[in-house]
Amino acid sequence: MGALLVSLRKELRRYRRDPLGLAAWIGIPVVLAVLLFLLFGRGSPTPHGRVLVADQDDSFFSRMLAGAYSQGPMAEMLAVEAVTAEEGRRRMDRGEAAALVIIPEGFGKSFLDRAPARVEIVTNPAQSIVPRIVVEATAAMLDAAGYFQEAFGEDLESLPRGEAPSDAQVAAMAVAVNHTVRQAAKYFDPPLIDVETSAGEDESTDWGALFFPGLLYMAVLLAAGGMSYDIWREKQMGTLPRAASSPGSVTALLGGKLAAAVAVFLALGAAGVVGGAALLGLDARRPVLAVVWIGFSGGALYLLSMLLQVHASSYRSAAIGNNLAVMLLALVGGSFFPFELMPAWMAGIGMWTPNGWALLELRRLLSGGGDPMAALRAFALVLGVGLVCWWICVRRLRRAFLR
Amino acid sequence: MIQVERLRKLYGALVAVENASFEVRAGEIFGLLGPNGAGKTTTIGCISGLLRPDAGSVRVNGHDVGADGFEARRSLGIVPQEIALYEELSAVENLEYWGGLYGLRGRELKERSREVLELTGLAERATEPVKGFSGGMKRRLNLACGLVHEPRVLLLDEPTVGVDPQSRVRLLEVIREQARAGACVLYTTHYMEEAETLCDRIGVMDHGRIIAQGTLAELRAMLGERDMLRLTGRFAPAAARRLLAENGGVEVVQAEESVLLCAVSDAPRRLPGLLSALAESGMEIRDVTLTQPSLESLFIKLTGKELRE
Ligand SMILES: Nc1ncnc2c1ncn2[C@@H]1O[C@H](COP(=O)(O)OP(=O)(O)OP(=O)(O)O)[C@@H](O)[C@H]1O
Ligand SMILES: [Mg+2]
Repeated sequence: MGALLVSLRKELRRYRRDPLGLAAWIGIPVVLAVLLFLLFGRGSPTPHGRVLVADQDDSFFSRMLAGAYSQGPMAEMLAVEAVTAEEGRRRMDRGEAAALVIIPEGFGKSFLDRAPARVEIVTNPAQSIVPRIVVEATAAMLDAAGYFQEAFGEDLESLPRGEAPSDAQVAAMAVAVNHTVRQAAKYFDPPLIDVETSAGEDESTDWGALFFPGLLYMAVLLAAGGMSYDIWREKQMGTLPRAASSPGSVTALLGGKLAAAVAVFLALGAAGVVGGAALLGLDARRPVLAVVWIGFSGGALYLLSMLLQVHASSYRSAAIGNNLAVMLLALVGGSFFPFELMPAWMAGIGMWTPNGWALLELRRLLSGGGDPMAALRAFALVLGVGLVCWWICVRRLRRAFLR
Repeated sequence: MIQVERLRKLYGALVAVENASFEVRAGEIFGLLGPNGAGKTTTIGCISGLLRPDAGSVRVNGHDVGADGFEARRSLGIVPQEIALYEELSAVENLEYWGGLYGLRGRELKERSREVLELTGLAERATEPVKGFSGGMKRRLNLACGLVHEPRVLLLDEPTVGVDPQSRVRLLEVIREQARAGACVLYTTHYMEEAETLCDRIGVMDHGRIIAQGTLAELRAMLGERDMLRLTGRFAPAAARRLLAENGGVEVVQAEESVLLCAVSDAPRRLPGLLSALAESGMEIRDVTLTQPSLESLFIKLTGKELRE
């Protein structure tokens, strides 16, 4: 244990003294992330937007419709502001809101008359999610209104114009509103929006959530490859055989290197999750678990990479093999292109690469989905794979690599 | 403290060490002397547990290196032939790492690091990254890293290569100090003078075999009181051999067209006669070297070749 800590400290000191290598592995994905951020801007799975409502009718029913935008789950996303139609159009021209809803004069009357009611919606072409929500929600509410008309047509007709509705009518309206909200709910559920938006090309995409975890794993892969390659440097420097002749033998050295790698991954994960949430609006439902997962799975990737290193025949073939593996795994494993943008066959392979699989697990943890047992199984699997790799690496280091 | 018995180590078909046996006791400096490729580093590798012997046994401090490696390694201090340091770390950080691996901690580690830095004359550069050190300074630190934990058994593989004469004298003194304090030191070198001045006992190694071992006096006795005469020029080997053999007290070690080597007793008196005999038979003598009995001459006698070729 003591020798492991000594070895860990040495390793961390080396990285502190010579941070350039580490910086490059983490820098490449960071540069890509910044580019993505500049290209696509801030995406967020819970969309926010301003909706302008111009109520030209000012009847009981029009007020109900206008009020509906600031109720239920929509209230979280939409900031509703009452405007006149002229002011609304002016502000839409300036791109100040996601949508403008104009309820024309006579809306309430035609509603009562069971005549077709028209509502005008002006949407902001620069935004895609919020305008769609407004359109869909309005349609759903008008649908519900139609249902309301059908169910309570008689009552409506008997309703004295301009008077307050009876208790029964209020109750019926409440049912209708409830129905509306339920119908509209499917547009508000973030995972559904996620699936819908990421499936199509021209629909809005949450770039942060889509690309960021992949970029994080690119950094993990690059760092794992680079740090495990260090075993060849230690061999050439003679520090590996020297450490192997110490009481702690190669296990102390390898343990220290692994611990240092995990520390780097934890730091990387913490910076990534916090930075992603702050800059890209990345959803992070279980941030601590996600960071631990990055450290844990990163450690296993490090050992897998080490497995490659200690079986290479020379440091040149180790370097080439390492670069090849990292590039290939990053490409197929969802680090350059998210699985959603890959051809199906490639995504099918990619999801079963170690990093691709770990990446999917990270996304599950970030989105808060997945059941705890599955997460536990994933951790157990990583531990198992890690232990096997560790065992083979130690054996190989002792038997063949040093000689 | 170190017991090597019938050690044999192969690299594929190449026999690197063959039937090597020797023992180094506490407080003793044992020199392993041999030319490049003799098998010195391979022997040290087998003692440190880095290499697995193909036959024979190695015990360190009573523990079998193969069966009880951990205990054996605990008493070892190793200074490898190649400089094995972290160049990006400072001298102190290197010492703290290598000392830490052998269980030194805290105050003790700091104090010992400072001590060995003083001993090796690196105290002033203690906190600089090693990559800025000169070759000789790295050598000295390489040695310091093997001494920091005060090991009971020291394996030193040519630790003074490339060190300037003053520093070398100082390092050898440091090593003697270790032995005086009770350490058992195995020291490999191909510097004759070093082996002669430093080592209590010496094993002469060539082609994987230990061809002679003993104290300097014992080895000298093997040569007899004879000096080594080395002639260069142009010779007829067979005729020269015959001519020289006719003179009593001359043993021809090597006879080639350009070199003649022989062990001669009472050389100063015999020399003129030998030279004129050779000259009279038409051979050309360009250079004459007469050497007092030394390890070099012993080595030449044993192997028929010079140590530094
Ligand atoms: N890893 C190896 N693989 C194959 N052959 C080796 C290996 N290491 C050493 N040898 C061979 O074993 C023999 C002994 O080498 P060794 O390094 O022990 O010599 P040495 O006495 O230390 O020489 P030097 O004074 O040059 O350090 C040499 O012939 C060398 O070529
Ligand atoms: Mg050697």
